Amino acid sequence: MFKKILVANRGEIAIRVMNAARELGIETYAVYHEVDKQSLHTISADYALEIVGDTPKQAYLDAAQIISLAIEHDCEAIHPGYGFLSENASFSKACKNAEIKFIGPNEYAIEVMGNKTAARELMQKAGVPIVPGTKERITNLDLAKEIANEIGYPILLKAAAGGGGKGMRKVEKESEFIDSYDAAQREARNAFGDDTIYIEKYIVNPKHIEIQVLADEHGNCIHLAERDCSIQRRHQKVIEEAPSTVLDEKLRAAMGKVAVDAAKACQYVNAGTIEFLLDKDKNFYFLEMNTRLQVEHPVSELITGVDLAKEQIKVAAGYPLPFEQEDIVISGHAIEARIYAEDPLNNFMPDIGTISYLRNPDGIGVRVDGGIERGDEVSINFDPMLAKLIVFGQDREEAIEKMDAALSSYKVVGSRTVIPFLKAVMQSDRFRNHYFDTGFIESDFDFKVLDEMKENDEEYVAAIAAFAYNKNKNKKKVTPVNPTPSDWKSKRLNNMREF
Amino acid sequence: MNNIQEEIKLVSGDKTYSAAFDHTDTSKVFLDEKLYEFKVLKEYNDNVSVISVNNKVFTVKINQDDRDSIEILTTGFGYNYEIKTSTSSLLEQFVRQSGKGKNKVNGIVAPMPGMVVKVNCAVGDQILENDKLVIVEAMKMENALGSPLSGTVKKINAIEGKAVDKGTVLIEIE
Repeated sequence: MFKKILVANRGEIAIRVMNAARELGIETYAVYHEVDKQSLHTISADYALEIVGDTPKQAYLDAAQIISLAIEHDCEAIHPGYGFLSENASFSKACKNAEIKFIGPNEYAIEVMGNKTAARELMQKAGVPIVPGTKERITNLDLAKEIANEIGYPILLKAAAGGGGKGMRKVEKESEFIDSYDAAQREARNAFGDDTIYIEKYIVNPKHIEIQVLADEHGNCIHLAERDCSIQRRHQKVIEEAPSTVLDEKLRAAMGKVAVDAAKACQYVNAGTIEFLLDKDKNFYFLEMNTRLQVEHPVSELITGVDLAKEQIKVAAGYPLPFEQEDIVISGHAIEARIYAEDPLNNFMPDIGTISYLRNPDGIGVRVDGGIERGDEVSINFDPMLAKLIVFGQDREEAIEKMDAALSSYKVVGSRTVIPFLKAVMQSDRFRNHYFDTGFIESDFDFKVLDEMKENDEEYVAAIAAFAYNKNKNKKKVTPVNPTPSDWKSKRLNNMREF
Repeated sequence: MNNIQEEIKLVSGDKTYSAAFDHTDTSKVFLDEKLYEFKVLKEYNDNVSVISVNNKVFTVKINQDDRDSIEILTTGFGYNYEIKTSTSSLLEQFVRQSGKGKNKVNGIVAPMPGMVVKVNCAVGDQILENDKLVIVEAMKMENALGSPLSGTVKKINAIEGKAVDKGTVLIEIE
């Protein structure tokens, strides 16, 4: 087993990985840019190494600097977390060349699955069903328009080098094509440094179902059932749950087998996720593979009892998987809500500020994977995700009640957050009756509910405002008098002299 | 009720509350004539406190930068109030009567710091409410900002490729 691991990431996932490493008796090395000097991941590590860059983001993307720090401090392995360098094939290769173990798959898998068009090609060859769309990369606008017409609107423009919803645009009709194409290219160029776009048929209101896979270096590959990530906003996940309400044992086994086939087709090692779209007729199509540990991995951990971050480290250390497919049994229901510092009443605009007060919910089946402490600033340098709140119940109903209660117990004051919105989703009929798809937030969610929630306590809050005004006003009436120096020192010396 | 003094009005959007206080007991507030009794249970740095209001517990941050406005932050919601005392109301009437007033800027204001990616209009354009006139990028996502009113583009302060602060007036419309 490794003795020292460097975690090339920040925030909640760095903390998550360091916790897993600690359980395996491994010393943890965190990296931090100056803006993160006081961040929770920096101050909770065993060792903290400063990294520099023109921008904070660039520091965390500086592969050479990070690898040389690992070498300097005898770290045998690097865990890349998610985002940043986690799906960077050259980084995986550079680690290998430096004889440092990259905790993740090899560069071939990252490369082929990172290129969405190459991935689709490979999947087709492996007999995995894919979403109808372009086979090769598109760089020509006129050609792109032609293909879009062929596939038939509505279509989805996606970044070939992308993920996480960035560089993605839905196009309803031909007249919108050029503007959307421009916008998608711009976002893709900014986020991934590559503006190649590919086109897929837009499946109307699909369910987003993903399968967690885990493979070791000895040829074993298993799946750990599904996650349903259909509650999304602008293609970014907001709420995830496991298992999905629309999968029965048969469909789970079928999708699981296809997911394992997909992983084997790219010689996958370590933890990964195959994302599928499920249409209204329960046909599933390969969307993409994420060759890293995902944000929402906790829900799979809770229903299977498998600690994915720990298993990642063990696989990288050469251990075979301690279980076989039939050993993976799911039980109970888990829901995760991402706590973003965004204002749902202002179109989810990020709300920057200081978290002046923080109280995490806890209790049986309540887990907070957080990256912040009271007093921390919500930074504009990174995504405004403060924490993940995950609950586990015996069944879906219990999980929903726990999530609703935990959201009420959660106190985050200083920055607007999506907490009221998440509560409203938990209380919505459509979510509770599990009748929802990826169109939920845009079409089916009634934002008036949030206005009502805000109004509920309005009188109390107005009274608090009046109370505070009155208190402060009274304070101002007392004019501070310059205190006379107390003279205790000279008095004491005088006393002493007297003796 | 002859201890009750000092009436103020709290204005929030289209709602107005009237508050009165008991000068012998600052723990009492009469809001629209209903009594609210306060206990400050716990205080933290940064203007955060846990307060019981008629025994209901609230954890809030109180921002009062000036005498005329106060903001109360709870988990998830922010409530903003303008405070009007009898003197400030008189002042407002005076200001209105003398014809002086603030020049309100109509237009699109940057809701957060970011970078202007694209300007979709030119000075003199006739535009409609909700037309997306400027795209600002922040936190790796693009936000297309819509006009709060219909009118003519008067002035464009947003420059493609340049960063903007929260509150910067990007597009002036009349």
